[in-house]
Amino acid sequence: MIGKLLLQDALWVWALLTVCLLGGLVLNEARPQPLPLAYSPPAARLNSTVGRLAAEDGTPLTRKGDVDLAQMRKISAGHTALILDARPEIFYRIGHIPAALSLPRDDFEHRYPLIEPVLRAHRGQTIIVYCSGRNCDDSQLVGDALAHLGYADVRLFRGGWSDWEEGGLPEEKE
Amino acid sequence: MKSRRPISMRVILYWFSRVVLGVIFIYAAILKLGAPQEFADSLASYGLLPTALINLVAWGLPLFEFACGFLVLSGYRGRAGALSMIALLALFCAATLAAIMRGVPVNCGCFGRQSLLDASPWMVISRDIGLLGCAIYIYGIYMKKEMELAGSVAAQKSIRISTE
Repeated sequence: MIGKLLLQDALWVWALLTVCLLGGLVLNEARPQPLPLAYSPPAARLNSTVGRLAAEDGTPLTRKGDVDLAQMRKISAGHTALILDARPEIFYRIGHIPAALSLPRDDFEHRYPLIEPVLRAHRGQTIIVYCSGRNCDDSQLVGDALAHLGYADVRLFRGGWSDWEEGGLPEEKE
Repeated sequence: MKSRRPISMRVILYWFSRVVLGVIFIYAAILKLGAPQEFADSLASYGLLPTALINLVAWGLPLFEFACGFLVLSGYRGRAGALSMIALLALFCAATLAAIMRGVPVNCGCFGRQSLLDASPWMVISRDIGLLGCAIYIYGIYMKKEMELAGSVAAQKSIRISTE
């Protein structure tokens, strides 16, 4: 009796799963920006976006040294560089380094054109990118993307938000 | 005057489990459906699915979760909904445990963009085990009801046969 019920339920589960997978395909096609059939990792997506966005004069640069917390503190206080937050926007809203702009890795394609005029104005100056901490690679990916787009001095603050927060430094919220 | 029977702990636990599981599954599904790319990235971070299947699962799994939540909450085909939840939660636990064992940093992906706030994979496993317990409890209750029903039908049949 239990075995029969279990088999009956398992068949239902299987049927439901099949319907949902097919329904997902239909739903995806109905989206304004459907996902492609084959998955592409974040770095590859960003590269393809950068490839599209890159101006013809975009030149890869040699990355200069990264900045540590003490340098970052001075830069933030003195407004001597443009600071970019590469984390997803929700985290930027919760809290970010003062005067930083949001350029999330996961939404680079849409956010970059919005802040491009500001970035172009700082083209010859230092741009510092950070993400959540030493284990995230969003700042690296965004930094590389900006380098390929022709920004001359892009540096990373690898300690990121976790070092900044642990240092008890001021933060801005949006 | 008819006296009210006190509500037993079993009934409270049963309804609590159904509501909690149903609401959490529907909530998680809606968040994932709103951020399919992020969910696909989360799935990829586990390194368990072949690349060709990641986007397919990223589209279909949230719908499946939504359906499970609806079935358990509404009670329509609740047994199938509860069994689906057991299978899903066991799978989630195993996947997270495998990631921990391999030292792979994973983003749970359980609640769409908000899952980035799930810092610890152990927290994710603990939550999933709790939910798994609820799902098994609900399924057990459903099965018990079915067995009781089958038993009473058999008893009625035997009474009918003996009176004939």
